[in-house]
Amino acid sequence: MTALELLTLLPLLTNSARSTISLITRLKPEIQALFNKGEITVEQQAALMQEVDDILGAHERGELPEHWKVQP
Amino acid sequence: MKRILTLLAAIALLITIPACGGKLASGGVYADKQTLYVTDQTFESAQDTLDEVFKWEYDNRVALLQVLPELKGKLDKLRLEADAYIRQYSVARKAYLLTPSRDNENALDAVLNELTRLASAAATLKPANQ
Repeated sequence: MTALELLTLLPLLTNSARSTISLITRLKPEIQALFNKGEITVEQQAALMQEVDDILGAHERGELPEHWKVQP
Repeated sequence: MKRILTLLAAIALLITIPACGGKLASGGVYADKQTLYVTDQTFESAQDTLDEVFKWEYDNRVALLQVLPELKGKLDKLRLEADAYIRQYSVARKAYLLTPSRDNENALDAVLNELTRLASAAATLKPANQ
């Protein structure tokens, strides 16, 4: 079974189709390119690395957006 | 049961994507790190889902407290857990970058699975039409 076939079946395998689909549909073009055996460009790679670094850095420094903070 | 199946789906995704034969352009920061590329991409997607749900609740808090009073408490729990796991992901990622061993890869995957589970849980709390 190919990965794509597996993904197609996932919503049928779970009653939580919406959450599964939600995650899958958020997959970025770079991941879709993997399925299509396309090439992920140098620029796309750099953008992902930068984004991940920014997210991790913010959490390490405790500099979270307001909507991530637990408030009374 | 629902969460277990979703978690299994996420794990299946992690296992199958690297086998699909996608190509990272040479010279890129992930060129010789396809495993890290896939985990980082999945991490970013899970974080993006969490961020969207947290912001939706924050922006509509007053109204949501009236109609879904238990929602803030559930999401606050996810906020704390997500922050902790993201910090863990950072630690595990650094260890993997330093030593890309199977043990470090497994540790990275374990944290990522937890983040994916949280993202799935958060997504189920947000109505589809919001």
